[in-house]
Amino acid sequence: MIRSNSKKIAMIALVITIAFAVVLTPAPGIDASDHADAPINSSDQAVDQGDTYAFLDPNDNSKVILILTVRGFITPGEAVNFSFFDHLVRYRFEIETTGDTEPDDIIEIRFSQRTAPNMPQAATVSLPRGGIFAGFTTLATQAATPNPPVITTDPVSGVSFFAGEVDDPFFFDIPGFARFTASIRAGAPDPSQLGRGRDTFAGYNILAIALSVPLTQLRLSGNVIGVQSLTQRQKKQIIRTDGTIDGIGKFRTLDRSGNPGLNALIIPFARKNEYNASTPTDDASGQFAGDIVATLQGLGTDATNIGILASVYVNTGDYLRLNTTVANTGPGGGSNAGAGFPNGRRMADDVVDTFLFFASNQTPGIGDTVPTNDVAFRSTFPFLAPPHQPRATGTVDDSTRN
Amino acid sequence: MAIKINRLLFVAVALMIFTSYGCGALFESRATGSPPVPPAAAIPSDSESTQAVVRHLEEKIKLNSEDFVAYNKLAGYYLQFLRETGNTSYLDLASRAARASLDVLPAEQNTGGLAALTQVEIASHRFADAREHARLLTEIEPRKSYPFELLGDALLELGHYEEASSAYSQMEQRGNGVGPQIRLARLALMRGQTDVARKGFEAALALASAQTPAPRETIAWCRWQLGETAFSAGDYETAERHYQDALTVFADYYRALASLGRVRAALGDLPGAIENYQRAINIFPDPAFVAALGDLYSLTGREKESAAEYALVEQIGRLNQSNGALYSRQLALFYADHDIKPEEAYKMAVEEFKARQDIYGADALAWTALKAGRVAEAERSIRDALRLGTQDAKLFYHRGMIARAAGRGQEARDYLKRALALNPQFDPLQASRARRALEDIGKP
Repeated sequence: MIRSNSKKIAMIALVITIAFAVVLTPAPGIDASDHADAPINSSDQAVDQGDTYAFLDPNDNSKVILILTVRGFITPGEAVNFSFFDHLVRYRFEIETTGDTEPDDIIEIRFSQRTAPNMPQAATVSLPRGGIFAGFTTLATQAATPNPPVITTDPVSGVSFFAGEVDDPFFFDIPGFARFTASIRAGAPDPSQLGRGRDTFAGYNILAIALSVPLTQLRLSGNVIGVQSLTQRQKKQIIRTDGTIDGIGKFRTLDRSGNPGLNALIIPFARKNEYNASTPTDDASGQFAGDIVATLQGLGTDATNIGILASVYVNTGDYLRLNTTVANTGPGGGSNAGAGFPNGRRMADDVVDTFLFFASNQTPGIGDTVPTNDVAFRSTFPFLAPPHQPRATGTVDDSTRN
Repeated sequence: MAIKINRLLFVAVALMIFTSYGCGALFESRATGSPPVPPAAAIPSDSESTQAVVRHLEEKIKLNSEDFVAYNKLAGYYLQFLRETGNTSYLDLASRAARASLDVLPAEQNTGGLAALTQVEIASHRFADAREHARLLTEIEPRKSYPFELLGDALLELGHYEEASSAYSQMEQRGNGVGPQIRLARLALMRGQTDVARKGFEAALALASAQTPAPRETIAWCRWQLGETAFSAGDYETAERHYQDALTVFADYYRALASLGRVRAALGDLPGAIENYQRAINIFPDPAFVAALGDLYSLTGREKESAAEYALVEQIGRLNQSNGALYSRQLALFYADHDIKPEEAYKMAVEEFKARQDIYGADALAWTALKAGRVAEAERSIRDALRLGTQDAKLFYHRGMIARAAGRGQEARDYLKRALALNPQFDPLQASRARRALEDIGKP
């Protein structure tokens, strides 16, 4: 998965995503005997973001595809319990179009409260130019075959919308990566740790929101857009007399995602949540610059490559930046050389290897040995692969199913 | 969307007229007369689909023994099974899964594994370890509420109530779901704020009931806690209704079965009490349930069966000594309640109190010290146990009996009267002893 060095050096930007292991089954507390402890909060997970993608539709370069993933590591068979959107959460794409750090266009997605596991949720999509349209989620099921994606296209704006359970599009060996970086810190770099070839995300599903947006719907002032996605929630809840729940008060950002993995890899763990609640303007003011440099120095990255990895983030905030004049072509969301991450991010871009290349001072051939996703991406919107479904009865474990 | 936003604005403006309970979530004005507690309805068990998920995860681990995500998820399911059944073999499975996960990926990068380990430690009564790991979790995820839930839980069990309270304040700043709601209610109950606790559990129940699919065990748990709150205030009809509701939701919920047994006894229905305790024990033989069943047999003249239950309490206790210290408190209290092995009971309570200085640990120490003839220590400890202002008839009864032994008749009368006024049938055996003691002391 090594790309041409000259191209990589020319690339600005950084980093990698590690939707690091915040894997918390809503395991309520327990009670072995004499103390009656309480269930623990599972609503934290509804805002846990995975990744953000931004690329031109390879079938029609006049449209940009925006994707966010949230609430990861859903096992096939857990769809009824986990594969729905939280009606109290505000899901957002914030798009920067003028080259500074402040978002200019906002696309916001809200969902109705889920009423039954076999009913889709209604979605409301608010567009930058004031348009609003309604759609539905694609219902996740426990059947052997997933439902086909429900795509709603707004006749006024031409924006298309999808939301539902999908295969987690990220591919990455987290333990291999962690062991490799630990070996560097221990003073004995061991690249063989990257040879496991285990995709941590294989076989797991995640929720995704995907939009296809005609570039004319954005208020562009140049050729480059910056994209980040956010999850926000209000501080208080109110229980209505009919038993429904609403939020009240100001929305607070609980998670955000721009360039892959800045959050999880470069920002030291102790400050991760502080980062999540900050803004690209905070990034640009250098709030996290010291942390990033220290982390990279710990990995042995030299000043030149720290400059490459950190400068864009520090100077213009953690936006995924996409040049809308670079043609994107090919199957699975686009595959032509030089058009992908860190120019936006396409489904199949191996962002981990790109990061490792710079972090290792452009060591040729370095990378985890997970070069592709476990299942094929679609070649048309929403590009995400269908979710993994529970195994059909009649296979291995049928005899114990009853 | 516009409509929604207007509604929210309206809510914000109108907030002052809503009833705040000083406890997390708010109820909309009750002017419409809707009861805050949703009606109970049976929730089907999802155990079939859950078992299928667990099998799938176990198969994943067979294919890849370093799938830490699968270990974390499995630990969560095992802990849930433990909650639902009380079966501690799930605790062992959860512990092994959490440790296997952390062996693959260290805690700093593996908050799921760390959270699972912390929960295992709480369930295993390793509260000091749980506190350290919960602290680490709050450092790694300082803006999430669940690390502060776990930290507060560990501190609460250790008896560090001020620190627990401040952890729960941090939790409340970060989350407002069922988990935070329940914890604030529990703390209120310990502080003797029964109404605040009840409203908090009602809010938790409403929040849990609004989820789709409805979380069966969580809803049953909230109803059971509402029952416990009513029982502690001597409101047996309300308590029974909540326990029945919990059992409507979750028919085999052993905690509600045992509590239903206790409230049937309080209402004078000893055969009904026995039947419910038997059902609970068939699901999970908690030594406290077994001891209560033994008491009920004894009260109905079934001495042979009573002796068998009492023997079982001791057997579980001995099993316990090889398996950690899950039940040493119950066993010590059992001995003290039945005036047997006073020295052994006292030593057990002392040992437990070294590790854990919560109010019920202080109470166990006081009660066993009294039975072992250490009246001065009993006096110190029972005051310690009542330091939060907890409104619990058993604590008042213990204080009354200790004061009597210390020769302070007025204080003894006061506390025995308080116990019996608050919750006249707090325990089938001990409540009548409290009455007899009060008569024995006589008028001043």
